[in-house]
Amino acid sequence: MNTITIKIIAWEADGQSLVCKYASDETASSNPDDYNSVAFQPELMWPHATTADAVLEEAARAGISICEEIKMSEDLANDPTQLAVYSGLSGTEQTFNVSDITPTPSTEGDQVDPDTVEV
Amino acid sequence: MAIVKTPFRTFGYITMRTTYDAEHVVDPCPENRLWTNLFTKGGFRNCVTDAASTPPNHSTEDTNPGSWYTPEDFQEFYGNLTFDALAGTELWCLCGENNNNWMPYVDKWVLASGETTTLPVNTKLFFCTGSITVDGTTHTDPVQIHAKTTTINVTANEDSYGILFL
Repeated sequence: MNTITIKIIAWEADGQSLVCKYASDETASSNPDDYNSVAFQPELMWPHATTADAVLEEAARAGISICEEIKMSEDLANDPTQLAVYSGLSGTEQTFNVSDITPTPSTEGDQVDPDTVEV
Repeated sequence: MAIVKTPFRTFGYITMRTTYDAEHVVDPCPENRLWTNLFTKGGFRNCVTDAASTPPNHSTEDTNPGSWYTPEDFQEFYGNLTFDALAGTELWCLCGENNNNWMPYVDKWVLASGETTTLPVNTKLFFCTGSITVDGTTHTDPVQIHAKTTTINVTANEDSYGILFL
């Protein structure tokens, strides 16, 4: 991703949120209006950013992961093999033992300094 | 069930001893694992990666005392490896994550019961498991042996294993 375009749609006073839309040079469309909006709370998330430019830059930075998710979603839509994997799971029910799908715990003892034989 | 990891300070590096009871284990294995392993007791059976691993549902060989694996061997798979550990399994690992992501130059050392060998000058041997006699002294606990200025004769009283630091 080389460029990201952010469009501030609105300031929601009730939720103290900036409503933003994004697109990047990797998303199918470069027009942020083609994608869903997301809301950020700048006072909570970026209290250090007090000027318009600073807030805009933080909001753009936050949009990088949004654009990555958009691209992943678009890539998936064009991948019928992977789509078939997901859609094929519909209706599946299976029980797993938690111990079979999580790392087996271990304990760590104190470090040992072994004896040395040196001649 | 218990997996116990004990770090040993060995010639400037950390060598981790891991012991297992008889148990089914799920071991998360990252890609490009920087590990060198020496099995000295017991072993793993029914080793297989899970469905989400690469490659999925991939069986790997059983391990036994003397089995030796290098970072190159760990290219075979990554993800989650499940296996059944035999009771009393003992495994020694030089792990990159314990050594500033560096793998020292090492090699396996094995001496069969009843055999004698001479360690040449400059040999650095970390004796791990078994029973050896060095200059009339018998060692059954892990010990660092450094032939700094002269050769050292070693006799195995039982099958013995160690790691040579090159």
